[in-house]
Amino acid sequence: MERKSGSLKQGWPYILMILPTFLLLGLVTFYPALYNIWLSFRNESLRTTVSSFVGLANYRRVLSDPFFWGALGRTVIYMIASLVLRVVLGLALALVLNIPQRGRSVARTAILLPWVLSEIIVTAMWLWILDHRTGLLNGLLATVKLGPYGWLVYPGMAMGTIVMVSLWKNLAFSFLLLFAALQQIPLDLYDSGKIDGCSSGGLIRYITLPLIRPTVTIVTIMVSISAFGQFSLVYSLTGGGPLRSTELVGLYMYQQAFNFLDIGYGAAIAMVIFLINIALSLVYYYALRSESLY
Amino acid sequence: MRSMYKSSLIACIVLISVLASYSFAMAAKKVELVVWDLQGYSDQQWYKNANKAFMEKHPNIKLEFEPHEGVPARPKFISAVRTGNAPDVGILNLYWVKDFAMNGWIQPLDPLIEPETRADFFDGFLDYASYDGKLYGLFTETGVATVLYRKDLFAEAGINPPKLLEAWDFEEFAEAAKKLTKDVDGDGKIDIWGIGISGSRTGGGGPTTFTQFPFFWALGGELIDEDGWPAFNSEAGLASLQLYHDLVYKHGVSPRESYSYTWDDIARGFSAGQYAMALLHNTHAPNMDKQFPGQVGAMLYPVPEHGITSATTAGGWIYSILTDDPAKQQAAWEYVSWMLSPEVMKSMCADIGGLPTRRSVFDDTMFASDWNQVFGRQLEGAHMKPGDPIFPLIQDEFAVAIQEVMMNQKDPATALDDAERNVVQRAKATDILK
Repeated sequence: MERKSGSLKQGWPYILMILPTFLLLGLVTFYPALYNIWLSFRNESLRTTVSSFVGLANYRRVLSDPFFWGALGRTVIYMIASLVLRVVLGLALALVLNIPQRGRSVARTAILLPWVLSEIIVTAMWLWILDHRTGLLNGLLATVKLGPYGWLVYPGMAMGTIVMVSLWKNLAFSFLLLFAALQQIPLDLYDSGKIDGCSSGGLIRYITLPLIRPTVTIVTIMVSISAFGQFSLVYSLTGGGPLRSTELVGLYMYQQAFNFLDIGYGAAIAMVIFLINIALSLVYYYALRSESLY
Repeated sequence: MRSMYKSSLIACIVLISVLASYSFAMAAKKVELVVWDLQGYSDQQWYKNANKAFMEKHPNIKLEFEPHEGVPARPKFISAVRTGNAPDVGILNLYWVKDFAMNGWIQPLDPLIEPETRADFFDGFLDYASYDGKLYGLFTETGVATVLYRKDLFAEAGINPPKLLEAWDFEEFAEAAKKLTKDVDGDGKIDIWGIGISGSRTGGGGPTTFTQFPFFWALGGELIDEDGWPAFNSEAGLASLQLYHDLVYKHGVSPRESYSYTWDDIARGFSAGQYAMALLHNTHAPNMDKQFPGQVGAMLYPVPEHGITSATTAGGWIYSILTDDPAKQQAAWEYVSWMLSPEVMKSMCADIGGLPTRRSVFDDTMFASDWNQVFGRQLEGAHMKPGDPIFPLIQDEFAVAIQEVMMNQKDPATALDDAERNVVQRAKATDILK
């Protein structure tokens, strides 16, 4: 008992130091999140000054809204494509650049550059590159008698284009984490493996992959959450079009809340996205968890 | 008795002094006005000059500006009103005014506006900004959808544009567009298209419908019926969508990808010489003319048949007073009436290419150019998008219908049936329709 009160006495300066951070987080993260939950149970609309508690009505509306399900389906496609490409390519690049060789730091910098650019700049740049009639890409393809292609214009192509732009912009995130994980693996393990007669593929399969599995889990969860909440790229590149072919749930939620001023409904969509993200994170966690490393 | 008289006199003098000091203090006290203005205005010279002149004339009024980003700022305005942080004066999009007036978020201008000032504004703008018989705002300027064309390409193709202030019918319009559509280098691909039309759903379909509705309105279309239900699924709606379909597929005078083009794409294409005609906004004309000096003309929107008044869509921004403090309201009116004075309106229109909403300004010789004569005539048949709560849903679904037809995915009847069903479903879900 004495020890406890003693620890508290010793620890209060630390508590005091982290208190501002907790207060700030509470104000800008926890309070809005709780407020969103409250809103999702109300028929709150910016069109009117009165609102009331409507129970689960907004959630029932989400579940019976065909446009929501359409947007959710497209988001799942976008998420799977982004996840596979970002994890597989991020890992491949990390493995390649983990081998000491000339030009390694230049390549690492090149991968990191798009990540540090603001999304607004990225989209403005890609809009110029991908423009159907005056874009750089179609201009280059024309020199070899190909195109023009409506990268952001054809409904069947627009989603793929957004996935590729997103990959270009965000590949660095998965690469960085996986590269850092690779650097943590003791080289002795590889030496032992080689002595035991393990091939290069075997070294990756039996040493590298098991040891970076926790990082792969983190990357998978982070990429999924980020892909599920994708908004700025689609908003700026296509606005959800052509038709609704790139309308993802993040954009749909924004439209309901801020274009059509239906705040309660937008909040309910946000809650559904949140619950899906939690469910996905749990699935990934249990599917990829390491029973025992050694 | 004498001392009583003396005491009364002293008391009166003291009272008068106190009242005089209070009056002086009140006169010297500054009224502070928070003005939410447009980001688009805040950097412009005419705007800076007008504000500077106002502050010099009214040292007792202090202005604090908070520029907003335009159409997307609507939720910000409403949130501010509902949390008691509304500005005293705001520049509102025209579609917001009815909604704001219905909710009592903006103040009637009737007690403030002088009769001669009121009479100088065009009636259509006063009517639009009125609700329940009261005036709630005044247009800063207006703009119209228009058909811009290249005079040099018309001359090359041997086409005479319609006479000034006359409109082609749809058939003449399509025929001219066909002659203007050319494969210049003979590689089998079209280099110059007859007409640039946009079909993108970006911005909730706002820009696309801005240039498409003039056809719909010329055909006699109505967007909302008297009971507030969607009315666009009509003969006019069908014919206006069929026209867009025909321009792309039957006449081949617009690119097949037009369904995804925004205003900016059309403007860029026109600047790059890819269109002989384009459906744009009147403020695009000066910029296009810089690219092709003296070669850019404006014509009235085509009509279904001769004898019908050419229609267009007019847009604009509106000054409204939000404060309910009487002292602030008077200061706010001083400011608004100055910013909308003929002098300021003239300099604004000259700078940004907008159209004046006051008769005395429109009559000025600077608005006598061919372009402005066309825009002025176009204003006579102008419609403004309704401010009803259901309108954003109609605009969004109508834009989807335009895209579906321009992509050849649905015929106009099916596209409009689907759009109407979606509007009703969405409006019922949000209690806009009961």
